[in-house]
Amino acid sequence: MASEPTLASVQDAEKRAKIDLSLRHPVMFFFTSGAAWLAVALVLGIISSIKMHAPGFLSECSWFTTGRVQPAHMNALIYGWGVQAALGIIIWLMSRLSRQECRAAGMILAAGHLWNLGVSVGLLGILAGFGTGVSWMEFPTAVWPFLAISYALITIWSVIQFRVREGGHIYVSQWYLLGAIFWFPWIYLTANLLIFVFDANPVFSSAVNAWFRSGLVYLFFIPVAIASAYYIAPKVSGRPVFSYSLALLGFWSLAILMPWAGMQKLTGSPIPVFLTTWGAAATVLFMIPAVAVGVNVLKTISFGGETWQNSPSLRFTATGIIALIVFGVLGMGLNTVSALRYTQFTIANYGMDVLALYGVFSLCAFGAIYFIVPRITRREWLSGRFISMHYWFSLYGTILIVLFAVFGGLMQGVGQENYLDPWNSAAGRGTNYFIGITISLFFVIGANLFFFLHLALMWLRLGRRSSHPTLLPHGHGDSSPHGPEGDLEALEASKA
Amino acid sequence: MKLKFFIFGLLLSFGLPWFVIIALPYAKMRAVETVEFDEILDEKTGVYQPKTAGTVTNGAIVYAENGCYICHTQVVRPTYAGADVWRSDWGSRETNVYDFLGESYAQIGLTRNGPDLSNFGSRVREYLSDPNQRFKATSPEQWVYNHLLNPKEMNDPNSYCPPLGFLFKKASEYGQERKDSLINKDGDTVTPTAEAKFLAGYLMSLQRDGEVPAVIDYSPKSAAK
Repeated sequence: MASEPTLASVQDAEKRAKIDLSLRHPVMFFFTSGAAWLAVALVLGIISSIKMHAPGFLSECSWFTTGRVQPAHMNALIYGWGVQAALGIIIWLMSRLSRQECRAAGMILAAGHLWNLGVSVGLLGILAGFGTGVSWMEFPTAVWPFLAISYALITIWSVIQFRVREGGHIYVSQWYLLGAIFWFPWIYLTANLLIFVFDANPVFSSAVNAWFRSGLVYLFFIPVAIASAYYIAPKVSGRPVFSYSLALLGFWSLAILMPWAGMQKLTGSPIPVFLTTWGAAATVLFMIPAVAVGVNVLKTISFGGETWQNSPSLRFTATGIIALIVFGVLGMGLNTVSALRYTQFTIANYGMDVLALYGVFSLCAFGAIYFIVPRITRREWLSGRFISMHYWFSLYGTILIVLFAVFGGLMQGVGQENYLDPWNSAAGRGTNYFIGITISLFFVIGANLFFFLHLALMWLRLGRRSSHPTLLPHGHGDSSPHGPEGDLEALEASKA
Repeated sequence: MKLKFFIFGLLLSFGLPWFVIIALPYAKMRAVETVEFDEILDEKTGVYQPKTAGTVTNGAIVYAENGCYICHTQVVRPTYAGADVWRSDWGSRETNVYDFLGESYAQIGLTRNGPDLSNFGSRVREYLSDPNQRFKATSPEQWVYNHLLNPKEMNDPNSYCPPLGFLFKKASEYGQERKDSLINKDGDTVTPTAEAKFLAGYLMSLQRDGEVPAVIDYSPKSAAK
């Protein structure tokens, strides 16, 4: 890294800086408004989690009944935080990898505001009692066309940038970005049209919804997380991607397998059985892309060195990829035919959703945000400790939620299968796990309070001007991110 | 990887499953064939048409808007998928596709934090003659209304069901007490709003213990082991 700067590398650095400058407003917009929605989603999540074990909490107000605040939480998490964080990453990453400046910042910002408007109206609609009753699609039906248009107006520019890229090698991340950009509209339009517009058989509509929920996780959020990881891992650790063949295997196994997945959530319903069994098989086989990507990225990082200890983006990304492997393995265990009877209608599914949306996607997104924001704002993060707190409490919270939800779900399932006992004996089995999930959500909210404050300071241009990045503190006696301790004059004098 | 190969691969890898599990089943399931009772096997004739009585459509909307599907299911799974069928008060038969034909979206449900509701209507009617009930209702509708208003007064004192007090309005102080009035947890007398009546009507219509033609009845005939 300490070689003499050549003309080519200086020109390259200038080009990168220009690209970053053009991306500042659109990308910061998506990250900050996404973070705001994450806050909203987590607050709604805590309320809905409390209501699971204390249903009388806030029940005087119809807006906070369990059946409205739970969908509001999921929809805010997915469309408010998830998609916006993903769009920020897609825009920045595709620009950088195609080496094209962002030429449509105005339109992207306008479309982003339209997205925010849609999500706001949708959430208010759900809470006020106009939800559609279709899981993860509860926004009143007038909203989705605007979200679809907004999405198209934002991502078309990334596709154009890819088309006009200077020819040559297409990098791994770009496969996943193109995949995600292409898969989302197809599953979103299919689901919304077949469920709300066209006359489909009611049970099959439910099946399409299950397919959509699965597709959103496996064909949008996880590919964006993987794209980010394949960029950050080699970039920050300074090592090339471990194996091209593994990268190919990881991508194509995901692309071929995962469009089949989802309908196993409707096992036992009156739909053709092959839809459910092939869905279960695909979900079980997700282990293949999960492990392929996991091994490839983690081998690239090589935990022997110091970089992964110091770099926030690498730490978050590596953890997100480990979560991906765990998600693959758990998915394999929980979706076999014998396991499904115990997990199908339990909170285990919520645990898996949290693992995918927060453990995998959000942690990788945080890694990307900690990497991208300094580059587009030309300021460094203010505090390594804030980042550290964000990391550790997110990790604790996620692990606990997943443990409580999956194990609690299995306990619920065992009770449900115990048909000789009356329903009441099965009913109360979940209570303690619901309480555990509530406590764990407080960890997650606490973690993100540090993140929101930190990001807000960066957004307000209050980051520190520096040429060296903010690193995670480790060990005692660390130097401050602002440079060595001590009197300024003494430092100047010693340098002279 | 060449771009042409990538695009082709992407289209094929998504297009094939989209066609096989979405487009094709969508087309085929739009018009479900009617089934008739067989004179010999079922000892009756006629078309199998599960009765959907009451204000089903409006009630289904209230059910959806208030998120009941989050904690309640409406599917009794075959024995390869679960032990649902063995619970006698859940209808004792597997759900078939005709059960949902009046609705626009089948609320199969996400979790079973509360019991399955496929046969809820029949269960409530049986509760009226059950001396062990904690809440003594004078009519099935009153049982349902009180469950919506004060879930913990019903069979399960630890119920997770949220009290839907906003579906009820304060009763007028003047005039005779109405037949459908209830007492809420603050001790006030309330009566159901139209939304509560729609929802109750929908829930009362959920009955799955009628006769099913033998050709589509796959339920186990013998008792569970």
